[in-house]
Amino acid sequence: MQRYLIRRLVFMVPTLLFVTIAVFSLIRVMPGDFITAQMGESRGADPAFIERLREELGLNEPAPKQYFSWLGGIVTGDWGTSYWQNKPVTAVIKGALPSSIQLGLMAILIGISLSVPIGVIAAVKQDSWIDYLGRMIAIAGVSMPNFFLATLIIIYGARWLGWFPPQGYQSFFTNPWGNLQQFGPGAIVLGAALSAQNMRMIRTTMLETLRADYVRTARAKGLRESVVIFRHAFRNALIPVVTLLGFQIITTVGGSVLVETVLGINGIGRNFIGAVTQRDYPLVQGILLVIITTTLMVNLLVDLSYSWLDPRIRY
Amino acid sequence: MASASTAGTLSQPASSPSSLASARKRLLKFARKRPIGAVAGLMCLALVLIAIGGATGVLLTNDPEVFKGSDRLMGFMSESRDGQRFYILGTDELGRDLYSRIVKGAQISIFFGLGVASISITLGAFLGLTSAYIGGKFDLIVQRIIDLLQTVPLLVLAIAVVSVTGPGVMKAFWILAFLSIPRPTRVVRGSVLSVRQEVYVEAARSLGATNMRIMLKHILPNVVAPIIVLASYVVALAIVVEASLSFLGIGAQPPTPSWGAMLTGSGQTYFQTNPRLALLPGFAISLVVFASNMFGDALRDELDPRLRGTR
Repeated sequence: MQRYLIRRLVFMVPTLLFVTIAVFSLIRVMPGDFITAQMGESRGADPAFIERLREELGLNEPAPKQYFSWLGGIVTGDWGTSYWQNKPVTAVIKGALPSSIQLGLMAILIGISLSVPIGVIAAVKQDSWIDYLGRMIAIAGVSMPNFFLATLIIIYGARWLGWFPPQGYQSFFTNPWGNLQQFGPGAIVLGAALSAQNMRMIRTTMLETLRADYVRTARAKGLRESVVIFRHAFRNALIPVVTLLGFQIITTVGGSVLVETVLGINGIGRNFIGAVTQRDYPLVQGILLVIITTTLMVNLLVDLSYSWLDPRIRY
Repeated sequence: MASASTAGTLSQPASSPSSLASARKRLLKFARKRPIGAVAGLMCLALVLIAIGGATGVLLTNDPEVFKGSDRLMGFMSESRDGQRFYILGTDELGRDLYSRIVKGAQISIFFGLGVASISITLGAFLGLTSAYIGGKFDLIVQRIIDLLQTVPLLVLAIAVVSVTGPGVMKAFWILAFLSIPRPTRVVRGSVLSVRQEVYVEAARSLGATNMRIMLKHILPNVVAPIIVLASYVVALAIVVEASLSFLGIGAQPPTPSWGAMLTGSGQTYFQTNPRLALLPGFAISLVVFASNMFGDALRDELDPRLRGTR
């Protein structure tokens, strides 16, 4: 187990190195940079001035040199300066990360706490009204794009509940109610999509495990139904669910881009959109790096959880 | 509930009368066994027809791109001030006919859904097939690249690439088509790896069949089922991502009507007074995605032998 973990972590280094090269070259293959994006309208800008700006921002250096100085910076904690916000990239990410992490964790919490009971009940009571109702809601949840759901919250939250997205970051410790008002709706939107997919997966795999021989054996031993369902069927149904959850965390990171933008949450996603439209390379690179590292860690955790869920799997 | 019209989506156009009859029979059986799936299939077909109707102009009541300043933000079933036009779903903030814009918007969604799915699945299937068949270093490199592409959320990756290429419908289309390749590659590779061990492949090889012939004639037909199922999900995903990109303003550009763009533009500015500007395109997207998901589920249940008998 320990060796496996170490091997996986070591393998992450070349992957991340490759990712940095990919991210770096992706942004540089096309014509145009931060300066042309900024000067887009004022075509007649003084070329000497533009040249001086390029020089100052290091955009005139050869690409490999730019890459290595960026890479060196990443290791030493200097991720460059965001042109657009005129702050160190690390400061921007540090400011935005707590919001995104809270949003993501709340979404996953909502997603799991909704999907597990409904999915299990839907499978145990297959073809009952609760099964049909749950499946219909799940399909609807899967089909509604999260930005549409977020827009609905903006429209009807204001109309019916007088809710408007709070401005500025509301800390949970100083203003818990304001914090929940800020993150609750976004977490519900992201959590709804999560729970819809999870529920379908839990239902399908539960249907399979409930028919397995070991479940029949457990019943034959005279175990209580709740023990049969949760200790025997549910635990074995969890592996595909955890795999799905891993994918979902990645999708949730993508979804948060839209949800943060619509609901005015100053997280990683919203900063990413801003950085992209401003062609703020250092910030785009930094955020992509954070997102990719996160997804690699998630994948690792998913793989590790397999052996915890199924003792037959050993690394 | 069912009709023979879903035939095109389920089976190849049949040439001989006997295969036509058997296709119809299979279709009727599918409809009887999975009525919801059949309805979803019909809905998909209807949406394709609406898109064609919008593209050819048959279904449009007004020009979806023409501004009419005097008819701004009119309600359902209203007549224009000069009495010459009729707006079924009213108009947006520039006085454009909402109904015609939504019908016209189907065009982009369907184009993305079907186009991205067919390109990415063709390329992905080819890559998966060759990767699994050739194996060795080639397989290893292809799989690592695909691993890497899958670590980044599709939307984030698409946004990053669009930021480099600049916004535009066709750019977004090609980017999405290429970024959607990993999943079909994975699915096809997995299926091929299991099919490759079958006796009939060995038999074909011992008869001296070329690699190309084995791949196309013996392996491909046996991995068609997972490909078809995957296709319906790729369609749904492509439609959502197109809508998301247009919603963010980096997909379809005005004045082209796209459902995602309609939600963000007039939809967000006027949602307090005219929520239908956001609601209708939003429901349109949801409906398309709903239909293709349901159809995909029914196809999966029908084609996946492990799930046969479950519902």
